[in-house]
Parts: sequence; C-alpha cells; structure tokens
Amino acid sequence: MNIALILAAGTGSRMGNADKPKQFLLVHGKPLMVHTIEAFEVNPDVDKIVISTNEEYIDEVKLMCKQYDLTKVCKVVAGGATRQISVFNGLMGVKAVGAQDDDIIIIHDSARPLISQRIIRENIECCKEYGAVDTVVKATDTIVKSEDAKTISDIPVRSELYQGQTPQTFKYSVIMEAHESVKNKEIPNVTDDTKLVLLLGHKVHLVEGDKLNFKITTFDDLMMLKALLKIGKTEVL
Amino acid sequence: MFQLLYKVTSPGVIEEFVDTVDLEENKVLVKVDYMAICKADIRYYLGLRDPAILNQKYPLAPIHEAVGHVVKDNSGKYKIGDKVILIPNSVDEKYLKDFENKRCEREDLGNNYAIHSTFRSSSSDGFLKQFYVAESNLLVKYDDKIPAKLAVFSELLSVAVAGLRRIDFKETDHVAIFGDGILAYITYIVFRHDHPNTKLTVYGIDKNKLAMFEGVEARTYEEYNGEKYDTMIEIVGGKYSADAINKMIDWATVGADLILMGVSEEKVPLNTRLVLEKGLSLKGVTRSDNKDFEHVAKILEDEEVQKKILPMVLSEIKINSVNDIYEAYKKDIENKTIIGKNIMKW
Repeated sequence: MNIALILAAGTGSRMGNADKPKQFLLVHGKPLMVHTIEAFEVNPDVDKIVISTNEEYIDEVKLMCKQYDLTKVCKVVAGGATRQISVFNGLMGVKAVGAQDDDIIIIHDSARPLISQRIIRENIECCKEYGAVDTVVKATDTIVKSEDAKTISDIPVRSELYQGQTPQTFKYSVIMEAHESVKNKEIPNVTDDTKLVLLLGHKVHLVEGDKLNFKITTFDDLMMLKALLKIGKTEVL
Repeated sequence: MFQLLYKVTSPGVIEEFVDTVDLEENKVLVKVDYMAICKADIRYYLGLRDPAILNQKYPLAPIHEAVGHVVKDNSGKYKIGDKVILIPNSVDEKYLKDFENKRCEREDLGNNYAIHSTFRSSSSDGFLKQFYVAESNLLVKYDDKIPAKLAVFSELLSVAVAGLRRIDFKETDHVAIFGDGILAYITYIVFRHDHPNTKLTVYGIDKNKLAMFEGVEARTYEEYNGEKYDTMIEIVGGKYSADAINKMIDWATVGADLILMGVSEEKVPLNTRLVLEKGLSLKGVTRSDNKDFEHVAKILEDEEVQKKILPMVLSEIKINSVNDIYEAYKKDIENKTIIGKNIMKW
C-alpha cells in the first residue's frame, strides 16, 4: 500500500498578515492545499491519504475533503509545533489506517501544489527499490556558506549540491524507526525527514525534482504561482 | 489541481504552461494514456501554414489523437478505470440554426462540419497534457482488452469510417484507394473490416509501403491495367493531389463517386470537362463525429484489425519533459518511409 502524508500544519508565518495559514489561501477558487491533495487523489499508485494539519483546522479540512470529493483522504490528524512533530503525528495517523512495515509513505508539503505525476511515480518506484528517497533539484546558483552571516566561510563545489524538495518517501518501517529514535528529543537543524533517516545510517536515494515544484512560502511565491496560472490561461484566438 | 500543458508558441518551439484541472458538474476527469502526432500537428509545429492563420493560432496545445481512462466521473455515465477514446470535435448547437449550416442535418454529413464547430489542436487547445476534463458525450468507451497503444489510432480510424460513410456503394462495386500513407492504410483496414468481399485496389508510389496492404491488389500508378472504378478515395494530399485526383477522374466509371480526404494547402487544378462528361460526384471528408468513434470502438475489438494496426506503432516515447515531446516530433517528421507513428505516453 502507498500512503501519502500531506503536511498542512504550517502557520504561514512568512506570509505577512495573512489571517489564515498559506495552505488555506484560495488560488483559482480552491484552497492551495486542495490543489496539492488532488495531485495525489488522481494518482493511481496512491491508495490512501493522511493529512496532518493545525488542530483548530481539522474540522475545516474534513469538510474540505468532502466538498472537493477527496475520497482517498482517510485520516486527518493534529500536527504540532514543529515539522518533526507534525510528521510523527501524521505517521501515527498512517499507523491507524493500517500501514505495514513494507508500505510506502510519501511525505509532501501541502504548499507545493505544482507536484507532478512523474515525481510521485518516481518516488514510489525508487522507494520500492531503496527504502528511502528524497526529491531534489540540482543547484544552479553558486551556494555560499557563511557561518557569521557577514563573511564567506566556504564555497562548496556546486556540482555536488542539490536543493531538497518534497516528496520524501520511505518504507513505513524506516521512517518510523527514524522518528522513534529521536522521539522526545530536540535534534537541532532538522528541517526534513531525510536527515533523521541519515542519522540512522540508512542511505537516501535521489529522485529528480522540478523547479516548478516550488514551495509557496512567501507572497512572492504566491505571486509567481498566480502569474504562471495567468500565462497558462492564454487563449487561442 | 494544476498540471503542465504543452503548447506550440511559434514554429519549432514548444513551451510549458501551467494549466488548471477543474472537474465541473456532469463532466469526466480522464487521465490521458497515449497520444499520437497528426500531420496537421506537424504543419502547425513547423509553421507550414499561412503566417496570418498561424499568428492567430499560436500559442496552441497540439494533439487530437488520444486515449485515456476515467479517473473521476460526475456524469454518472462511466466507471472509474473505463478506457475511453477522446473525441476532438465539438459543436455549439446554437450555430446549427445558421443558414450556412443547415445541411449539417444530413445523416451522411454531420454536425462537425458546422461553421464555428471546434476541433482540438486547431481551433482549441489539444490533448497534450496528463489530465483532461471532458464532456461525457465527447468520450467513447472501448473494450478493456484492446491495448491502449492501438486504440490511440482511433481518431484516424474514425476519419476513415466517416469517409466510407459518405459513399452509397454496392458490394459488387470496384473500389480504389489512392495513396500509400498512414490514412490510406487506416482506410484500407476499415474498408476490409466493413466490406470484406468488395474488390479493393490500392494505388501508390512506394512499393515497400504498398506491401503492407495485404490481401488486396496494391500497385504503383505505372502498373495500372486499364480497370475502371465505381468508388475512389483520394488520400494523397499536398503537391501530388492534382495528379492523383486527375487519374481518379480518368479511371472512373460513369457516375462514380470520388472521395477527397487528402489535405492540400495549394489550389488543385482538375479535369472538370471529364467530371462533367462522366457525371462524377466529388465529396470532401475530413471530419468524423461521435457515431464514427462508436463504430471504431467496435472495429477495434476485431483481432485482425489489431494485428494490422500493431506494425504502425513504431515506438513508444515516455514523456517526462518537453525534450521528450521534441524527440517525438523529430522522429515523426523524419519518418518518410514507414507507415506508422511514434506514439507518446505519460
């Protein structure tokens, strides 16, 4: 069984004065997260969807699933204050819907609505073979490291650098073991699940992402998405 | 949901666009499985039409030959997973009342000839995307056992069906197809299925291509033996149209039907004196309608038909990016010698 775990517990703290978290903002008449979930809903390889969201929005998300006919969503759980907690709570939801050790868990940000079917498919295929997968795009800009935020401390070799996206996909046993191993511990600088899996000593394989699979984090990102939609609507005369 | 849609924006250039997928009431969400490039798609891609027309068309998503399967259905007509042929033509019924469209009521012609009817990849965006929201009447279900890579030839088959539907002929008639390209081969398949006992001859110029027309007389023009024909179907098009159609006029019996299916950008000079003397009828066919597609879905169930279509699948190209689409176009454009297509799949 392949289960998508959609993370929708962000607060939208980088979206200025928006009165709702970014994943609930309407884009083209639908909440942003609905566009994202629909990409998994229509994928024939995805069997179930679990959503981890802010506790106060659980009822709204359930209603949304009904309104937009998201029939694969079988569990909506309360997220947490950090990504790590939200994923862990989501995994508890995944467990509750009957996940087994060899099942594949596709963890994806609800604020990446331009996820392609290819990326989902390749995540699942690669995870079946290797057990742990991260979606990445090659770094095209030179990345500069600064430890004091004032001067450059290093310029890593660009050809070895990638930017991480989601989905991050794991066999259920692998991701559960990774989270159980750090349960109740605060691990610094952990912004995603692959880091936890790497801490276990497990190899994580790469799947090629897409620059369009960007995360809507700021108003600039939202503006970019809306501009792309507007260009796409260019009609034939 | 969002998805990528690919459009030709200028000659030789295909670009990605972000498209929205909204499943409205009474509509059907289809995952497109296979797509094939048509000669008309190639003309738009290469810019081989009047620049004034092209400037009005671009940007335009190509592809009107496609099959898929039902992902969601708000119409109550389909089951999830049903395999369907996508119909590229649609008609706004309000225009059928116009004087110039009144003959569309005729059974042998059909609504799709109506001025203001739309055709995917010509007057509206085509199917070059993963998901397509369709009106339920613009899909035709086909049998699960038929391989999708063969069903992708349905639109071409439907045009052949539409062509043969225009002819009122007897089984004892002598029929000839002029042309040895893909639509000629497809028309031969449909004709052989629907009229297995009628005498059929195929004329062309390429002996290797003519060898594919098994079970019928397939000859070069030089091998013509003086026989006359009651029904002739021209599927040559382009600069050789005039020569082929004038041969048809010469080789026609009195009162014969000539069906024209080849597309020519140039005006074609014809021997009208002989057309008058023999009382010939010339009919143009390029558009099929729903009932033609329904007939195609039945024809495709015949294993003999499937066997004849299979050699036309020259390769399957998996589309992961716009580069793969360029590759598919390149292969189809370069193929001048083999009857078939390099079909695309997601």
